[in-house]
Amino acid sequence: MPAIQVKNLCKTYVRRPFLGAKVEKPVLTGIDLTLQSGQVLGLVGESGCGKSTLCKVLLGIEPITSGSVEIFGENISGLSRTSWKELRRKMQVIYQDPYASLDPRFSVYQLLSEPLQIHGLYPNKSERKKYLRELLTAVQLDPVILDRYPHEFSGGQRQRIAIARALALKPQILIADEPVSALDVSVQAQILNLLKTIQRERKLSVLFVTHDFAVARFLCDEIAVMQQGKIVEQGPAEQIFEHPQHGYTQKLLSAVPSVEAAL
Amino acid sequence: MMRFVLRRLCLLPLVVLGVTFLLFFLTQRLSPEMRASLYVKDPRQMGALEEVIREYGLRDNVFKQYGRWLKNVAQGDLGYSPSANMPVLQALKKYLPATIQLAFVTMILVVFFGVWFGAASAVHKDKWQDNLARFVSVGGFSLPIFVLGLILLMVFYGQLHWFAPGGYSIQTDIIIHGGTFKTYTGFLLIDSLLNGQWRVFGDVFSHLILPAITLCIGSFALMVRVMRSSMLEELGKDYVRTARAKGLAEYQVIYKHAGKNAIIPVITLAGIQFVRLLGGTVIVETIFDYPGIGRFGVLAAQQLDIAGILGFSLLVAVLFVFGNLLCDLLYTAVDPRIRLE
Amino acid sequence: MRLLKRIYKNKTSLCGLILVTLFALTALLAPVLAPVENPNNPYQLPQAGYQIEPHPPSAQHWFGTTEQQYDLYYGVVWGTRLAFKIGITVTLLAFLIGLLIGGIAAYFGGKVDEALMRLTDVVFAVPSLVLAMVIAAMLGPDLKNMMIALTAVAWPSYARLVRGDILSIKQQGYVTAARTLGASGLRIFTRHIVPNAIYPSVVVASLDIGYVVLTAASLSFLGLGAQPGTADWGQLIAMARNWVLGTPGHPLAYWYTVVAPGGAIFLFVLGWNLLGDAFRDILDPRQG
Repeated sequence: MPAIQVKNLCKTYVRRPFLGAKVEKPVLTGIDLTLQSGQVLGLVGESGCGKSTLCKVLLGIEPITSGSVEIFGENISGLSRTSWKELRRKMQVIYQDPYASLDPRFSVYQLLSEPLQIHGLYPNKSERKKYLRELLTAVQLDPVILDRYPHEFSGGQRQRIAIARALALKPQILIADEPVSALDVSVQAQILNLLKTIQRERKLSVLFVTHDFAVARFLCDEIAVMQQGKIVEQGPAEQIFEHPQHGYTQKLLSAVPSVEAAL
Repeated sequence: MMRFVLRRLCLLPLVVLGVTFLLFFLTQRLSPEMRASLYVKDPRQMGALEEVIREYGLRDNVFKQYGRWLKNVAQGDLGYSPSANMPVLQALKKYLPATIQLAFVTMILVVFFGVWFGAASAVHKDKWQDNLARFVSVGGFSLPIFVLGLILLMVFYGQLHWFAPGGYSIQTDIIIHGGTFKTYTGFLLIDSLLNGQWRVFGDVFSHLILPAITLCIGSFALMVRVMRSSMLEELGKDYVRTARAKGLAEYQVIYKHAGKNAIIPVITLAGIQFVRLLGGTVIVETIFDYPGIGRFGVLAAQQLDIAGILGFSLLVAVLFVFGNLLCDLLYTAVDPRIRLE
Repeated sequence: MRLLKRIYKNKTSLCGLILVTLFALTALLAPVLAPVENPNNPYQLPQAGYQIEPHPPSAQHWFGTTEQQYDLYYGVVWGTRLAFKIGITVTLLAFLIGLLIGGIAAYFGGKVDEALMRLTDVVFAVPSLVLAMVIAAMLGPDLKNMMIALTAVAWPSYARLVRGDILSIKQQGYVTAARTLGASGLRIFTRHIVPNAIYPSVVVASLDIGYVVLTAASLSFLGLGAQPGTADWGQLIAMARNWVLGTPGHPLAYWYTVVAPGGAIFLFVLGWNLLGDAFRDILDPRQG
C-alpha cells in the first residue's frame, strides 16, 4: 500500500469581498501523486507553483476542493477530529523556517514534549526525559540543551530540534517542506545527511519538497516535477535527471550549474 | 476604495446609534422625574413632572423609550435643556459656531507654529533650536491643558490685562443684540466683518486667543515632532543633495524642495488633529468660560441635564465619526501609496 | 534587563525613569512623608482652620494651603498615591477586559469578531474624555464611578491591540506547527497564541498609566471625579480656579495653588511620556 496516494486533487482559494462578485484562484489543478512506503519522493518546482499548498492540504490545514488524498489507504476528507489526531501520529512535518516554527517562549524540553503531551505518551517524567535525550542524540544534538530556549541556537541547530520534534511521535511519513532552503549552504549538507541517515534507520516514507534539483538528487528515490499547480513529470530520480521528458524539467535542469559541485 | 467608503458610510449610523443607545441605557439609572426633563419644552412645565412621566411613558422599557427618543430626534426635537435654559437644538445651534471658530483658529496656530518649529528643529539638528523645539514638544505633550489654561489666565488676564475670559465683552454684546447687527453665518468672526464692525471682530478675536493657545498645546507638540522627522527624512534624500550640488542657495533647497515634500504628512495630521480637538474644547471652554459646545456639554453633565447630555453626545459623535472618515479619505488622497482595505 | 540598559543609555528616557521612580517612592512612602490625620480616610485632606483664602508656603505648610486651608503638601503627596491607585486600577481592569474581548474576537472570528469590533467602534466614536465625562456624570460624581467611566473608555484600544497581535501570531509558523502536532484549538490558543501576544500589549498598557491619570485629573477638574477635600491633583487644581486672579495689586498672589498640584501632574505625565518614548523606540521592530 502506498504511504500517500493523491488522485486528481484540486484546490481553489475563494475570496469573497464585502461587495462585488467572489474571486476564485485555482492553485492546484488535478494533481496525481504517489509516495511509496519507505521511499523518498522529491517534489520539485519553482516558488509559487503550489508545492506548499499541496503540503497544507496533505496535512489537513487547508480543505480539499475536489479529488482525493489517501494516507495508508485512509481517505483524509471528512475525517473526524479524533481520526485526524491519530493520523498525525503517523505523519509529521518539518517546516522551512526554523526561526518561525519553534515557539520562542518554549524551552527545548517543552517544545519536544508538546507532541507527547498532546498524544498522552510517556506520562512518566523521568522516562519522558530519557526519551527526549535519545531523540536529541538521534539528531546529533547534545542532550544537555533541554533547558535552553530557541533563540540561543543557530538555524541549523533549530532545524535539528524541529526534526527531533517531528520524530517524537515515531511517525511513518515525514513531510519536509523545503527544510534546508532557509539555511546556509554549509549547514544544508549536514541537515541533508542527517535526514538521509534518519530515513534509512527508521525506514520513513518522505515527501521532500524543494526548489533545488541538486538537493533532490542527493536524497530522493523518485522525483515529481510541478509547474503551476500540475505535476508535469514523475519518475525514478535517475531517469528524470538523465532523460528528462518534459520541456519544463529540461529547462529547470539546465539552470542547475553543476549538480556534482553543489554537493 | 469606493467599497471602503461605502462600508464606512453604512457603519456610520450604526455607530452613532450605538453611542446614543449606550448613553440612553445609562440614563435609566436615574429616576423618571429626572428624565422627564427630556420632554419638557417650556420651563413652566417643570412643575408638572408626574404628568410628563405618564404622558411619555418614562417607566416603559428602555427600547420603547429609546425608540421614542429617536423618533423625536428625527423630527428635530432633542428636548429641553434646563442647564442652558433653552431647547437643546437651539443651544447646539447657538454654541457650535463658536467652537468651530475656536478649533479653526487653533488649527491655524498649530500648523503655522508646528511647521515652523519642526522645520527649524530639523534644519538645525542637535543645535539649540532643535533642543528647544524638542523640549517644547515633550513638555507640551505632558502639560495638562487645564494647568496651562489657568497659568495663562493668571498671567495674561490677572497680571497683564491683555485678554479676558468669555466669548466677547459687554460692549460687543450690546452691539450684537442691539438690533442692527445682522447674523449671516453664526460665526462671529465672519459676521462682524460682513457687518463692517471692526471693533467686534477685534474683541471676539482677542477672546479667542487664550483658549486657542491653550487648546493647541498638545497638537502643536505632535506637529513639531512629525514635521521634524518628516523634514529630516526629506533632507537626507538624494534629490536634496542634487539640489545642493547644483549650487542652489541653502534656503531654496530647504523651502522649495525639502519643505514642500515634508509638509504632506503634516497636513494630513492637521486634519486628524482638527477632529481630536473636540475633546480638548470641553476643558478649555470651561476654563475660559467660552460660550461653545464644550462648555454646554460640561454644564449639562455637571447638572445632570440628560437632554443636554444626549444632544451634546449625539452631535459630538456625528462630528467625530464624519471627521474621522474625511481624514482617512484625505489621507489616501494625499498619499497614493496608502490603500484602504 | 536589556531594556533597562538601553533606557540607562538614553538621557531623556533616564530622566523619565527617575521621575517615575521618584513618584512611585512618594506614593509608597506617603504615610511617612505626610503623616495621616484621619486614619479612616487617608485621602481626606487635613484642614488647618476654615478661612476661605489660601495661605502661601510656610514652615508648617511647605506648599502653602489652598481654599479653606487644605494643606497642599499633603495633597501633592497623597495625590501621588491616589494617582497610582487610579492609574494602575484602571489600566489593569481595562487591560483585562480588553484581553478578554480581543481574545474572544480573534479566537472565534467571523460574526463574533465583527460584532465586538463594532462595539469598540461605538466607544471610539466619541473622544474618550467626552465619553468618560458623560458616563461619570450619569453614574454620579465620585472616585469609584470615575474609575468605572475611565475603564469603560479605555478597554477598546486594548481589545483592538490584543486582537491584532493575536491575529498576527496566528500566522506564525509555530502555530501551524502545533496544529500539525495534533494540538486542539484551545490548547494552541492558550499555550502558544496568548502568551506570545500578550507581552507587547502589557508594555503598551502599562505606559498608558500617565495618560489615564491625566484624564482622571481632567474629570476631577470638571467636578465629575474626586470630591472637594480629596487629595487629588485635578480636584486641587479645580479649587485653584477661584483664585487665579489674585488680590487687587497682586494678581499672582495665589500662584502656589496652581503650581503645586499642576507641577506634580505635569512631572508625573512627563515622566511616563519620556519612558513611553523610549519603550516605543525599543519595541519598534524597524529599529532592530
